[in-house]
Amino acid sequence: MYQYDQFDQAFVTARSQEFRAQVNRRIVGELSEDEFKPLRLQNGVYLQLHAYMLRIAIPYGELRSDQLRMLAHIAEDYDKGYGHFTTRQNIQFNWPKLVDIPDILDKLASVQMHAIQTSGNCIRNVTSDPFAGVAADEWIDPRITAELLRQWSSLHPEFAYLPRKFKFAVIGASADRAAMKFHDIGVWVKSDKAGLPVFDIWVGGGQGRTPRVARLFKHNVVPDDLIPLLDAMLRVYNLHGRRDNKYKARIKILVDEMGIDAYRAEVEAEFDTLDKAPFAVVAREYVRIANNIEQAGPSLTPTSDVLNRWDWQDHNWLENNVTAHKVAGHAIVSISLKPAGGVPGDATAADMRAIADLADTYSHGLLRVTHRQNLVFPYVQIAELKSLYDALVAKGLAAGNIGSASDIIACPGLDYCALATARSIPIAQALSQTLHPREAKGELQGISINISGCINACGHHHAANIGILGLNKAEKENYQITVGGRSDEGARVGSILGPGVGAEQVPIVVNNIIDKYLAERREGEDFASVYDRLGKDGFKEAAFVGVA
Amino acid sequence: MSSGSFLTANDLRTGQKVFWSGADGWSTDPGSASLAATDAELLALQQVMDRPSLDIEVVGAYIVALDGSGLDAMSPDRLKRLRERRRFIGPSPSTSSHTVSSTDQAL
Repeated sequence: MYQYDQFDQAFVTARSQEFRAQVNRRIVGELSEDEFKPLRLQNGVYLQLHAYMLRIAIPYGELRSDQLRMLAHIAEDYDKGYGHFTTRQNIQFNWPKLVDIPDILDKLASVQMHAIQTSGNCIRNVTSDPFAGVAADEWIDPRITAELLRQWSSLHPEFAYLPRKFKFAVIGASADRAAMKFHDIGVWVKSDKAGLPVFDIWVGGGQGRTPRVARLFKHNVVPDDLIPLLDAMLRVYNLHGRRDNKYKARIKILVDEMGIDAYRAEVEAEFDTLDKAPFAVVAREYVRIANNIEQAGPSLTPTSDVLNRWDWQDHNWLENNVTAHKVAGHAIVSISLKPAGGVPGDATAADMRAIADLADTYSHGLLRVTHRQNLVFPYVQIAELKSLYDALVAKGLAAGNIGSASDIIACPGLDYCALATARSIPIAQALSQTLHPREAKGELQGISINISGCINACGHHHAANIGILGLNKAEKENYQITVGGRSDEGARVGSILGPGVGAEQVPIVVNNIIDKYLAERREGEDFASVYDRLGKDGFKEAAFVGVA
Repeated sequence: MSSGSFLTANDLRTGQKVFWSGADGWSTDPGSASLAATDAELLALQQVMDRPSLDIEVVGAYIVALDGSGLDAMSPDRLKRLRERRRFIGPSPSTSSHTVSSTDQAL
């Protein structure tokens, strides 16, 4: 994990002190709410349906155990005893008091955490592959690039007030585990013949009311050109992005309206005019960050330990939650935050402390947050897997459903969010209750279900095999079902299946769709493959059987 | 005018949702909200919103119209908008207790 230096520490500490002064001025009336709102948003403070909400950045999803303990302390002392991990690898607290937030930020700064740029029309927290640095299929560790982008984008004076929020994702493996193509800019790090990094740049992805899969902007960008190219891409967006209509302000709309070729041409012209001298530091910084991450990370010794699957009774956990590691004798372990009937992505303070202790024992005190709202131990010895599993069972954290249908993404929805049009979490809870019994048969692996409580799509419903969108229909909750979406390297937007249904009918429709998939699938096919053959119409009739 | 209205906001310091209860000021209890049934009473709520001190008391004050007749105690059934009903009730119990509640009724 990247270790903050004195500059980074001074940066988060100063920002915390600055926000304390702003809160004090707001409380005594020296700042009006209109003046204060953009300041609090740039520090992750929203006003939601029932209370303030504080969103804390977890840069590219990496956490230390001491940081997780601090989050547990905040949950317990300043909130209601739990936190919610989000689809952008951050964590949110639903009930902080404004007057407490400066103290919370001070405590976060003491463990090198902050809430900067977790809201507002700026470059948001950079996300990445939760298996970065350890995945067996990885070409180049994407954390180096993600950290470079974090440093470049933090308080970037030119990009503090963009037409709209701006999201980056960085991956460096053959598989996309970060929904990279659903980001404003996606960076796919690869290695050239000499083993040096080169970057494929994708642009214009996003969800919301106008879902788009990103388009390839440029292949094989060399390290010296990466940051100046991104500067040029953001400059053209900043200049031409629409500020008159927030629903048309994202870069995906600009790329739609200009066309990818015209956008590329304008960016290249801008790139040519840039003074490259200030960017000479980038290549050196890339190397410095790489060394920092390597030196601060654990040194794993390959072993000859292999997994004997027949020793295990809970094959679901082993098959679903344990992933191949790039170092022999080790494994990547995912911890599901989706127990049957649970709130997707929520962890109590007790859960956080238990997981932090286990991370110390089994994963060198390091863990990750996934965009599917789960946690990951990246450095587990295969010889210790059974012991870890037993410890997770004892803590009630051993749901073996990673990547399965009950591993449901859900946004906070109308239970908490001021923008939502319907509830998400109760739908996820009801669904997971009906799906968990089917998990035992092993038939639900590889099916993704995502739920959003409004068209802004924080719950990534567009990108799921089975997507559920909560809407307000004549002041009643109504749920639109989509099928065929996917967020991996073959990213695709799902198609609307038919008219919306009531909350109580959602489990019927979802189970019908799963039954249809199981009936139609051929040897080796996953849901996406079956959808490729059948299309939306192949599911439509079966989906609504039994729905009045 | 509607069959009744009340004034709501979020407390500036805590963020808690609050309801204007007349002489007692802002209250976190929706049941104590001051209901306006006449033009004069509605005007009084508007005047609360126009107070210079409002900006250091609460955030995002707005008036909510009630449905149905009479001025009995407020209930979520009298709120026309789904959003206001959920704001009145609070989060579904199962979402904050971290247990599943079979009694959580859909609106």
